[in-house]
Amino acid sequence: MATGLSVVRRRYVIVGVVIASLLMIKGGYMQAKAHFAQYLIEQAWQRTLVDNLAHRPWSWADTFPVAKLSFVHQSAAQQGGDLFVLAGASGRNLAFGPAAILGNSEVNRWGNTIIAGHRDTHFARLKGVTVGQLIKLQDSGGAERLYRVSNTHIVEEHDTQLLFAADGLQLTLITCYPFEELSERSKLRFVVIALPIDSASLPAESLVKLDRHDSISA
Amino acid sequence: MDIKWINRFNITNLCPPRGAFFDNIRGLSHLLLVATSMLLTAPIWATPDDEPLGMGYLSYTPVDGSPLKSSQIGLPINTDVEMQISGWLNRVDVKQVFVNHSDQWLNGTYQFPLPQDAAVDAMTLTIGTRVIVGEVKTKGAAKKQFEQAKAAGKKASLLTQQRPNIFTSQVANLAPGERVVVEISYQQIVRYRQGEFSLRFPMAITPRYSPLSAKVSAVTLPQSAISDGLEMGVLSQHLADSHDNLNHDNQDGGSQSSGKVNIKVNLDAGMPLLAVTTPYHQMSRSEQHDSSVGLRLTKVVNRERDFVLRWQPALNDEPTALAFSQSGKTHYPESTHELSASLLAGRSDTAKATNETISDYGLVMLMPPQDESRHKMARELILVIDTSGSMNGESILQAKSALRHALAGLSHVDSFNIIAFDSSVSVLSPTPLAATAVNLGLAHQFVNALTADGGTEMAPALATALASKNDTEERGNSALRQVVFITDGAVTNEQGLFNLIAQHIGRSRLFTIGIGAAPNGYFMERAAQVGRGTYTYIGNLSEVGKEIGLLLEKIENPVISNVEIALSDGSIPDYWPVSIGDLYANEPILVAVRLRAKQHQFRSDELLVSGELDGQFWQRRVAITRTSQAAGMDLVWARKKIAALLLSQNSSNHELVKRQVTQVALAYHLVSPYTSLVAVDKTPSRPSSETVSNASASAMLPVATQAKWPKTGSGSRLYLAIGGLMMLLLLVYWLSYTSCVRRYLINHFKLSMEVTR
Repeated sequence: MATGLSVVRRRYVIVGVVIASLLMIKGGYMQAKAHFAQYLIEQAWQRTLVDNLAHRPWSWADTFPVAKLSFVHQSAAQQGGDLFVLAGASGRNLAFGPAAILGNSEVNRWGNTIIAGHRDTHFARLKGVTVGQLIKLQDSGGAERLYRVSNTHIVEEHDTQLLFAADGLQLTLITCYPFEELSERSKLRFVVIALPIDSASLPAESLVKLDRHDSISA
Repeated sequence: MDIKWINRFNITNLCPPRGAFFDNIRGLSHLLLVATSMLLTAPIWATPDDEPLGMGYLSYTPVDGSPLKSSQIGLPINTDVEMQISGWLNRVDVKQVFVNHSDQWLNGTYQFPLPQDAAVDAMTLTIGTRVIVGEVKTKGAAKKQFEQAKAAGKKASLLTQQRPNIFTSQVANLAPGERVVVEISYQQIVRYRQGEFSLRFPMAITPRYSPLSAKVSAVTLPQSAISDGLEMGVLSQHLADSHDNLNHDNQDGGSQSSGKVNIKVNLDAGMPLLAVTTPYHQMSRSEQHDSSVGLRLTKVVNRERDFVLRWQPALNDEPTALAFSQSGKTHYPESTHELSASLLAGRSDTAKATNETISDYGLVMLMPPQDESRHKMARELILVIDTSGSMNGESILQAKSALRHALAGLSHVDSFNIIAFDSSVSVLSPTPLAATAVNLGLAHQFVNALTADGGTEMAPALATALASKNDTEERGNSALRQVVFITDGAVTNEQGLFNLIAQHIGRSRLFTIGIGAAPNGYFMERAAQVGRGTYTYIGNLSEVGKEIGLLLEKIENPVISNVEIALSDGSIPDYWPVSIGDLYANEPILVAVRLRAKQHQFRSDELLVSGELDGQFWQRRVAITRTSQAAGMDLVWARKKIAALLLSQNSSNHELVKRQVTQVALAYHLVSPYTSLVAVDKTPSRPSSETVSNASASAMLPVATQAKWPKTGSGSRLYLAIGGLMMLLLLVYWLSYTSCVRRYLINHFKLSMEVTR
């Protein structure tokens, strides 16, 4: 096709196309990274399930998977497979998968397990979360536990009360809000609170296992 | 679709420029800019507006869940604060006035901040002239009793603790036009530093998230979120309701006056006063004597700034140690309502109600010896920085900034070293360097070159940092080794690290600094505890300078290390915090002690405070002053014990700690994470025919922490969207120049011109 574009204008168009494709590649790379890293993390998780030790998903990683998160009875808005949760909710970890905030708690055992995820990748599915929905969490011992979503909140970035509010075992999922917003920064967080369904079904053997947080003498 | 669009364009613009619909690149770039900015600004509707600061609203919605009706109103809750300061103790009464201006029955919820160390021990509910005294129950029992009263139409109030400094008060069955007062009392120790006393009452609040466009948003919050067993659920429901109301009010052109605070202070310093200041609020003095003064706010204020009061007593020489004691507790669990009411009314009567098993409670204040002739001790500052991958991003910037501030705080007699670690450890220098300009320059270069990558191998770094020269050399030079550890605490083998620190700490002190959005505060707090230092959390880059400065200043001059307390007969009293740690210049330590009754009265009137001063054993006898009026020291003791217990909580002992905390809280009548105060009227006041609505005054968020949720968004979709849009526009631009499209358009244009004719 012959065009009437002058050389100068053509040059402008080419520059524009390059910039546009760079932006798209950057965005696409982020999405791809988030998607494919999960496969590597899954492999590390399988090894963890075998020996109950921390395994890095790749040699230079500064994290390891601590849990497998799956949504039971997913609605159409929550398509996607199981999610593998990394330790430590740092910006880098969150690019690869949902990540648990390190603190005084242990997956499926006690305390408030808080898992953060990006709203544009892994935790985009939180948009479809409904109260009463079941969430399954597998810990490094292989034990699985069901949690029921008890409620959802929208909070300010600095309104971190929910970070602490827990007397017993609890699962808290957080992501940025609103879901449709495109930018990187958000002042709001969408928080899902889920409570374990039956505390009686805790596997006996997982209680015997030595604890990660032993008491330290005061 | 493009063609259609272009067609319309043609009709409006009757003279299509040659070949292009965007006549030059500038036009295109303008369009791009506009499109991008639209993209960026589009979601901003969801961010909260700048609401005027005020004190939370009491507002309500009918229980049937139909929000946003015209009948809604917002009501302010006024607060009356009365402080009675006597010496070191501050007794505060906070009166919250719930007024129902509506024509419906209401249940109200109000969330508010109190000081971090407040020992909340009493709540009374005043309805007209009747006063109902609250009782401490376990959280579940209190909640149940309150809910039952609520359902039965009785007036009731409930006070629960969300966080050490955030409380929620609830009232049930407030009749139309009625006014009830919830009065909360707490005990607190005032702060003393460099000859000046101070106290702070938290008042600052920020607006909470308000779903301005909850109606238009595609995401609708589940309105069925109320679950009776779950307090937060109810709270959040209230929250959501109140937001709607708040917005509604603002749309109506502003509501009535927001809630106000009035503060009255009765200061009895026990010593002649030199100066009394309130930096942020204007106060008028009502009565003034040599040692006491009455203060009152000149006008009621909005909740904007924390209330701060400072006073300086005239001291001939600074105290080195002080001890007070009282006999017996403030509250007795077995006591009936009437008895506790009388105890509250006249606390000096406590002694009369004593029995044999009663203990004495005391406060010991340790003040470092102020010796002007002492030269400033040289210190060896070891800065350890975590450069692992998890520190990537803003964390490493904060950490580097912290390092630079720490380096800037060194004086010429000091020496320093920097250790950076990720998968491996790199050290600025094998031996500590003197703080000369050249060495500092080297250090800055070293810091600038740091990047965050790799794993977190903390053990070798800790071992390097804590490994000191051999003992004889160390004794010769009494330089202080202070290890400042900057990390986000993303580690796996926490217990192993605690052991390592405990083994190697020697005479060093470990100060941990938490960096980033969500550092592992649990690990760092305990690591500092084992390392006999402190933990500081720095939330954002702008705070780094201030926080590091404060820390370095505080730890600049330790005077006495390893402080311990004993009675002169050798027995050790029950004191909290258990590990007192080091005594720094200008930073006294307050310890709460429980003594067996009369133990110190007959056998010894003294406490022995011992420690190490410049490597030498140091000991001091402190006489215990028995003060008849200083009630509430038992509350301070119990509050300190609860705080210490909660800090030691972990997965293997959390049930035990919960039981212990509950037991202490019940015995001393305190509100804790596991106990609440509840007051219930005996007779139902709401006729069963009337329905009741829920209300909330928690629309405002107390500014109590600088913590933040982690960042949970990446710009991937933004990049894709901008890239895609640019592509599309360029394609349209390019297409408009192609000859075939041009020809087609010109033909089409002619055609359409004919049609219009």
